[in-house]
Amino acid sequence: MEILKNFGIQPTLLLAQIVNFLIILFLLKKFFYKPITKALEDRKKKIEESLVNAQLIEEKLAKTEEQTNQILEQAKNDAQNLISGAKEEAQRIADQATAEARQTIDQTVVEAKSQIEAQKVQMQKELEQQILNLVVDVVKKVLGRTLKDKERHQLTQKAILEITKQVQ
Amino acid sequence: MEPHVSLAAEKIFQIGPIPITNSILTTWIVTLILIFIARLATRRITAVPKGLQNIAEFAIETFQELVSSIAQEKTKVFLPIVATFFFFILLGNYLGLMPGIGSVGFFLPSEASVQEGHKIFVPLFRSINSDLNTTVALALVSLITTHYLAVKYLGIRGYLGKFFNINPIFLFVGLLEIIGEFTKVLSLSFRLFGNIFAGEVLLTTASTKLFAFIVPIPFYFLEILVGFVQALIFAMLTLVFMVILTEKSEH
Repeated sequence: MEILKNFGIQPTLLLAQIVNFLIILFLLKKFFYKPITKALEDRKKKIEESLVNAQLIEEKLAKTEEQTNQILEQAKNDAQNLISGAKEEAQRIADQATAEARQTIDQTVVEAKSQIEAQKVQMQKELEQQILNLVVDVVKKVLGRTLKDKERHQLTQKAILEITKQVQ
Repeated sequence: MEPHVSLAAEKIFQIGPIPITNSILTTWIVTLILIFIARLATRRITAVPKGLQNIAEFAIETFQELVSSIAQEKTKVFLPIVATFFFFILLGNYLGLMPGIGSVGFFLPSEASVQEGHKIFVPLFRSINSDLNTTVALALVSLITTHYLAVKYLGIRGYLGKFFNINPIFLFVGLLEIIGEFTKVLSLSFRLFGNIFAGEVLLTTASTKLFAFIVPIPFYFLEILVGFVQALIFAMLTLVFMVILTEKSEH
């Protein structure tokens, strides 16, 4: 055991170093590794949780966006429908008004025509009467006498025919 | 008078029957610094780490990845042991490089040459791993915890089954493995001791026999590297031994 003595190996020193190291081991384990590893694990857990949460939030956001889009689309459609409905209604009203106006005009025209026709007929009759009287007067003066009924009628007829032709 | 680094740690004083050597003194300093830093780093654990907590988390996380790549589900048990070996050895090695360690001391009359008036230099502090007591103690702790964990994981039957077997071939293998367990202590302790002691000698020689200025600087860089590598080797070997011995044997 000369070699051990040369190296200065002594059981008490050996024991002292072993005890010393075990104390360090114990203290470091308690005050160093445990809190640090715990902190590391806690952080890892927290990060994992946060990542899961972030994913959830993202999903929710995407869903909300989709919903928003859907609502917008719906509103757009509704508005479109409303506008086209209103347009149609307006068109319909306009058409109706046009038709009514046309009808009124037609009616007025027809009325006017018939009035004109009636006036024309009356005027013709009046004219006829006047001409007849005139003819009668002329014949009276020319002949110096009153025409017999039969002659008078014949003459009148002839004159009327002649005049009517001219008038027309 | 030639300065030299003695193979054994020198005794500074004595408490009762226990001799206190300069390496024991340094061990205490290392212990205090280590505990102090650890306490400082974890005094106020915050969710958003800053300063020392950040560094500590980085170190632990790196170790965690390293250990779990080999030990998988046993990481939680192995990590404190492996990491403590690393931090203790690393801090010891680096403290040994500090100025004053190994150079501040006093002179004692040498027993052999007291008549000639020669005195020997006794440094007050000594790099902890350049004392074989420290490295053997570390190796023993490594070995004992490894075997303790093996019994814990495999049960006493499974543990003994690793070394003793009815099959004569496996019995022989088991015998070799028992010898291997003892050589582990030797290899672990002497590797660490040899590297660090050699470093001390190298630095002392470079700064006394060569030139004390500038010249030792490259050697200091070398020793910084060696100090880190040796700490890592010790920790990794301990880890590997633990993993191997706590694994269920196939045969």
